[in-house]
Amino acid sequence: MQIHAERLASEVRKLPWHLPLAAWPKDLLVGLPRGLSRHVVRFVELGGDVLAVKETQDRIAAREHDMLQALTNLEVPAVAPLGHVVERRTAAGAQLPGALITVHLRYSLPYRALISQQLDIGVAERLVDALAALLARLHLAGFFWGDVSLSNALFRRDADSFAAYLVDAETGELHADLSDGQREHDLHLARTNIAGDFLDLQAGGKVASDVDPMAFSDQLLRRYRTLWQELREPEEFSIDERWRIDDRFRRLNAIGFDIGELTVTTDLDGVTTRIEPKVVEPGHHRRRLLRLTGIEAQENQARRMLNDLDSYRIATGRADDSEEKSAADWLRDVYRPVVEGIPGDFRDRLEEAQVFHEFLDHRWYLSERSGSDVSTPDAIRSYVENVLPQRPREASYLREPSTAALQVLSEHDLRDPDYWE
Amino acid sequence: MSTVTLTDVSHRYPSTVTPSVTGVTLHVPDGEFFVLLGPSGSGKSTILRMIHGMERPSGGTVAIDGQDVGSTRPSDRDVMLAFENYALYPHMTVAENMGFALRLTGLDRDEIDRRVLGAAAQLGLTEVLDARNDELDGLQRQKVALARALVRKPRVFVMDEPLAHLPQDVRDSTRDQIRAMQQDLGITTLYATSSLEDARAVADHIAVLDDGRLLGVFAPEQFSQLTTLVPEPEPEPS
Repeated sequence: MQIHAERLASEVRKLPWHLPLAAWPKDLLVGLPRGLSRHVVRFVELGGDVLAVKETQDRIAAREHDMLQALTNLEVPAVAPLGHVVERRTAAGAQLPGALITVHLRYSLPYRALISQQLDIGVAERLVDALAALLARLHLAGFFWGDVSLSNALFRRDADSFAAYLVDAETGELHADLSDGQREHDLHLARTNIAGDFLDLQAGGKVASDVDPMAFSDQLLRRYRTLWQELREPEEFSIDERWRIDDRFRRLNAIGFDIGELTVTTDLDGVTTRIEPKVVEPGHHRRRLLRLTGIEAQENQARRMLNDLDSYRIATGRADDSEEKSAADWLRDVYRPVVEGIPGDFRDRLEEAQVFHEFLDHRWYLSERSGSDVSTPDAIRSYVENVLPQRPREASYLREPSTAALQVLSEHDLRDPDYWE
Repeated sequence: MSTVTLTDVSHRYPSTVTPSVTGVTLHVPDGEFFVLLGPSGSGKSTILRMIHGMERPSGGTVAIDGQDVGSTRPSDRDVMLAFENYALYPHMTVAENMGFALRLTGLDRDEIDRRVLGAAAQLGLTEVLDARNDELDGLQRQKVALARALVRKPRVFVMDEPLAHLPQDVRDSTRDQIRAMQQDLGITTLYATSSLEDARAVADHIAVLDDGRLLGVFAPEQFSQLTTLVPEPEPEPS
């Protein structure tokens, strides 16, 4: 047997690799909502991390490890690999499949866990939007997925949206750039698989029969094409409309991208200008937030915090201060009191940045109801007392799905035995 | 009844210096099981994608039944990628798993039912049409995956390393079943693999590719010539 591990090698070695994954002792496993997979997948806790172990062929385990590592290096949203195990055998010497080990992404859930007893169309649409954005980012990085589906992604809350992460790179190929045909192939697969994902939920009684599952496939295609056009398509305009270059920058910033390189060409007559984004980088708002405050958040969470920072500057007469100084004051007066006000036993409910986003919603709601601004300390108190206790636990996993845990996770379909791994 | 003919076909992916396929000419007779054999990067997947229509040749022509399909959209070519998705949805019956992709094409329910029943009869799945995933054995699951393509009434099947992601213990049996099913159905099939052993087990003819070029088309019996051209890949560690 060979174990390749980026870290935790000695702990990984102690796992019962001589047993088929399906036969691993229960006391070793942690329960997590699972997605659909044709492989056996189990979760274990090692050294404070929850790891996903997937059984697959030796060759595929090694290849997928390399592929996920490459995607991580390219800063594409994907689960991080920790290692792979090959040449496994039982105690009696019989061959066992290889295994891929990835680090479970905290606060992430498979789409089936985010869809309650009856589908909330708004949630479904946001999941599909997140998948479209992930696909566009993968394609920008030159990654052909080959198996695009909601089942092969994990989702984290990102303000009012979701952020999607790739979890299955088994069929993927990494190229310097993708052809239109490769992108269209992924879209063709996405169209079929997403309809399949929702038809299956419909067959399972979770989606009302009058909902059209095909509409979600069409939505993904529409979202992807709009996004791709903004990210990559050239634009032509007359020479006296150069403001349109700034406009393109602003539009890309608004959807969370920075332009790394833009080609601008003007025809020989000097009448028409053509611009084409060559390098676009995601994370416009999260980079700005990180630079100003040191807070690591997802794109939409960061956008929301930056908006709040702007409002704070105006409301407190800091408009003439430097952005850095205002940000330090905002951290001290607004952000920290909120996240430090979360009682310990609620800390694993949501990511800090997501808690802050929900707090902003709550403060707005209180202010609107009372007809005047509600102070931050009052809003924190109300949020902790009234909102946070209603939130499901999304950071945590469960050693055994207990009754208490079932109540906490009540929005999920826990009666379905398939739900738990 | 379909033939596939490639004439001097070349292809280059963006941002690459060397072409992925260079001047390939080959003819696949009607009803043949035709294998494209070569290592990773030899151009076999790209050839399948050009026949399917996902990739456009940068030179040369692809013809189906003698008709140049260069300007025909993938969805209108009747070329199906078999086994593009092995995942069977747990809440759907076998019939629903087989027919759901047809709903995307806007086909009416009666026609979908007719096609599902027809494909089930061809593949011996009639008895399990109301079953769910966990009631099927491994072979039945592979058949359902194939049936998804069969209900589209393809003229040509393309299969891109369909065994690559299957566990070792079902690979050989699945490969033999694919061959048996193809013989029963008589649908012209192009099958890409990097395994000489797989190629010899299923092929009517084997086109050997290397570095985007066609080295020759052989009968499976021409073993000595094939082994010279295509060393069997390193066995997996056991």
